[in-house]
Amino acid sequence: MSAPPKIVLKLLAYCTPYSRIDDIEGDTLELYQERLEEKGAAKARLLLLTDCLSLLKLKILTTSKTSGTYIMIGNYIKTSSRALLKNPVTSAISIFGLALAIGCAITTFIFMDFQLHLDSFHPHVNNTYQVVSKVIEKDELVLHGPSPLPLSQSLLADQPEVKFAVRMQYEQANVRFDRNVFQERVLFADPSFMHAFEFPLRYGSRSALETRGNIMISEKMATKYFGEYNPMGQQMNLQFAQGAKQTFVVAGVFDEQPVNASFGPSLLLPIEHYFDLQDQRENDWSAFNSATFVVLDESNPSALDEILATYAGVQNAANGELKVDGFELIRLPELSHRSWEIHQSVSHGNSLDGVYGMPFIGTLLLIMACFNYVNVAVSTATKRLKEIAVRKVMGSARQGIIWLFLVENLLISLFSIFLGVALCYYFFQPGFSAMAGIEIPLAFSSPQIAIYFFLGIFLLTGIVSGAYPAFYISKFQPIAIMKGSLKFGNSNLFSKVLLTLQLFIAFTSIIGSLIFTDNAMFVKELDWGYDPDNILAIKVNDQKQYDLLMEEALSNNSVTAAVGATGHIGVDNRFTVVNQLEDQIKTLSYDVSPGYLETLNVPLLEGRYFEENKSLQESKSMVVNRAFSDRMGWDSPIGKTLTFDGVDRTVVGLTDNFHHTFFGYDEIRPMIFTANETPQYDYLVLKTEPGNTVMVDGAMQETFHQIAPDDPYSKYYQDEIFNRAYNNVDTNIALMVTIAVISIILSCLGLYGLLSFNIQKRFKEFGIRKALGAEWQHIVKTIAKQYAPIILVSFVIGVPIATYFINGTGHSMFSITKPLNPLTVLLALTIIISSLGITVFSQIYKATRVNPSDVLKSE
Amino acid sequence: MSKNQLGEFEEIVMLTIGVLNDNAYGLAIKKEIEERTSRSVSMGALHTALYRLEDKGFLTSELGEATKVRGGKPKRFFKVTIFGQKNLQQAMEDRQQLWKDIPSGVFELFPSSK
Repeated sequence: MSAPPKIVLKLLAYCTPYSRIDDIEGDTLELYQERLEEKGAAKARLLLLTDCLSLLKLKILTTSKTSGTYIMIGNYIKTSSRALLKNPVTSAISIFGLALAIGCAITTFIFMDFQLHLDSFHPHVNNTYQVVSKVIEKDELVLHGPSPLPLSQSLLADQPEVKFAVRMQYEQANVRFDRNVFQERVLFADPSFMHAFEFPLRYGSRSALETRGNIMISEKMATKYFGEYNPMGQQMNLQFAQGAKQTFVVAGVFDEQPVNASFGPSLLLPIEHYFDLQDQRENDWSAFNSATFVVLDESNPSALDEILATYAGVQNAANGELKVDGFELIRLPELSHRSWEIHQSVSHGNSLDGVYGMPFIGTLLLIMACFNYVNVAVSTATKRLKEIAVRKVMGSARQGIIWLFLVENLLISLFSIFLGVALCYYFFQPGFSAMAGIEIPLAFSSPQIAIYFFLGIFLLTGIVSGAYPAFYISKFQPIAIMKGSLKFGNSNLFSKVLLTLQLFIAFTSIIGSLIFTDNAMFVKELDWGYDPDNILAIKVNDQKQYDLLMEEALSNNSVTAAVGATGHIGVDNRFTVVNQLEDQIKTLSYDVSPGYLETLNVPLLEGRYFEENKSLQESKSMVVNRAFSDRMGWDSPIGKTLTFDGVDRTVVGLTDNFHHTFFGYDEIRPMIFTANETPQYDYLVLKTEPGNTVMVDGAMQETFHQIAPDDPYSKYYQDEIFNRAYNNVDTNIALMVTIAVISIILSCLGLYGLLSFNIQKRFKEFGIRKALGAEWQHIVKTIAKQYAPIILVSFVIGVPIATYFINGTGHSMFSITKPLNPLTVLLALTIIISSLGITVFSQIYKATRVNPSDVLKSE
Repeated sequence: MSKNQLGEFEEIVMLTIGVLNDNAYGLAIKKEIEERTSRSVSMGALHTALYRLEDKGFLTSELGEATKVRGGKPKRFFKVTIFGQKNLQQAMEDRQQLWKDIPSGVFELFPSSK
């Protein structure tokens, strides 16, 4: 015999009328026990719940005669809705303001919820770990995603806790089907990949990876290569970076990847093929693969600590290039948030700072809206003071008054939640998804979270924002209210403080977003340092391709210059290390054909560019940029010599600095340009006549397909290489502007609500003033005197804090920042003052238009 | 006399209490009704009816012994009062009168009822 859950018993006790509590409870429990035997625990509990609810009617029937609670709650709802309808403007403002903030809160919370539950669709998600290598680099512990190749098989053999161990290796390959050739990232993996991770399958079986020669492809790849055709059983030709060519049969097609996957396969091959490419280094501890995942049974990952420590010793003994100091198991749910600290991580996600940052802003907006509401609620309550006094005189306890206000607040927050959900659904969620560039579904990770979240919002907005008016006003003595000796509302310090705080938040966010936007705009318009217009770069794979394409390019009338390069500025930047005495200088180097620097219009400061037809002389020359010469400490670099790439070279030219990557991502690095005698160019760089770049691109593609049918055609428009970075900047601008706009709307709404109420209350006073001869200027002065200090104080506090804060974070976002522009502050000031001014003056105008005879004659 | 009017469900409850005689407590009544009329009776509906009937004076009740299966709670046994019995009788007679006054042949299913 088992008793039902305690909470249900409590509910039952609550639902039964007091006079009958014993026998009804007895009946219900007896019934429960019977059902328990007949229908099982779950069903019995459910039925018990319905019993409880069915008894509620009796409870209401019996208690309504003896206690007024239920009647009074009905009365509260009635008077509350009347009070709300009486001031439709202020109620609408409260509801709209709250809804706006709630909409933002929902969107940001869903974003956080989504980010925190990445990869959660894998069934073993909580027992899956990536084994990452700890490596000491320059006395600093760094996490590396790749792990020694034999690790997973050793773990599987030595530790019974390990259920699955998956080796993964990413490689580049040229993939061909029919005429479609692209360069792709392919993934080699153990067959257990399909069991450790459950990426949904559309066609084929989960065991497809067990057979050599099979390939599994994602739904995207299926459309890319096969279009409408069914890819199952088709043959794809792969050429790997190591040069080997092989044909694979499509044995499985994945379904669309779940939106919350932080990584997933696009082309999946059995790992044996990777060992073929690597000359069977399967048991070589000095060799690494991209990632190793293990799935444990329920046991603690610390069970593996000991064996992993011994593996680290074995690894070091293998004397490879990279020595591992130890291993760390990172749980799959945490992997995406830590991807930023793992070198070459296979999973990608936001760091936790970013994940929590958005809800933080959402909460801030919600708090602003709550302040609004508290302000408005306090001032509306002043109109109801007499009602409260009468209630108290008639015998209402203080609790009753508190309930009255709480019910009203809960009503408002309920409306706001509905409106907020609608706003979120129609505006914020689609907008945010578009900005973030990923489709974030409007859903919570579990129903419980949704319930907690909405309950939290409901209580926060309803009780927290309603508590102050409820507890404060309920304290008043009826006698003080009736006598009119109670001074309250106009000179209320509390609401002034709230308004100041709110305006402070608004100032901070507006100034912040303006500084941010200003910086972002500044970055967008920065000079790249060379001329990227009308430049087309084409990747070539060997000398023959280069020569044939060059021939074609020179015969094209629209091509004004054609040069070659090994590595290419902005597209393919390669670092080497230059040894200068004790110093090691990390340098970018490009081996280029004469004319390359002229073609890109890299500005020359001193000396000369490389000269044509003097290959012997030029192979012993080099051109450096200013950053390099500064780093070397040269006053006049021309004529200096340096051994680079095994050749003694003389510096013949000095270029100005220019940007090889997007401004925020890296500083300007030292650079070396050489012109070797026997070059192996892998980029053909063309300058075309203005507007003809696309046409030239088409012609080159045609030729490329004829001379290299097995290779993908990769081209880069030089002026578009930073586009992705620019898009990021645009997204940030849009986000900041949205936040600023919402916060300014909220503060305007707050001010408007408070003003309209307070000014209306003083209509009579204005009427008397006018009747006694006051001019409109005088009335404006009276009102301004009340609100100007608030705006001034919040501005004086807000601006320095915002400036300090944003300047601090700005440096981490852009490596080049602009000094604070006084114009920015002025603009922020203008935006705020004008929007607040419009709000205030719309009300003041009403006050000045007051007709004394209208407001004075009636009560 | 609308206050004394019996509802159909109330009538069934009172009759069932009569049938059960000494064992007429909440759950037993519920089961008996469910068995005889093949309708399902919710706990709330039954107890509401019992409460109302007692309030009107048609029923009396007293607490019985407590058992372990009921979580140590006593049973409340119901009895139909004389006043209640009178009302039941009144209700029955009203109906019988109605049956009698139906002209013969109107109800095809009961041609001979008279």
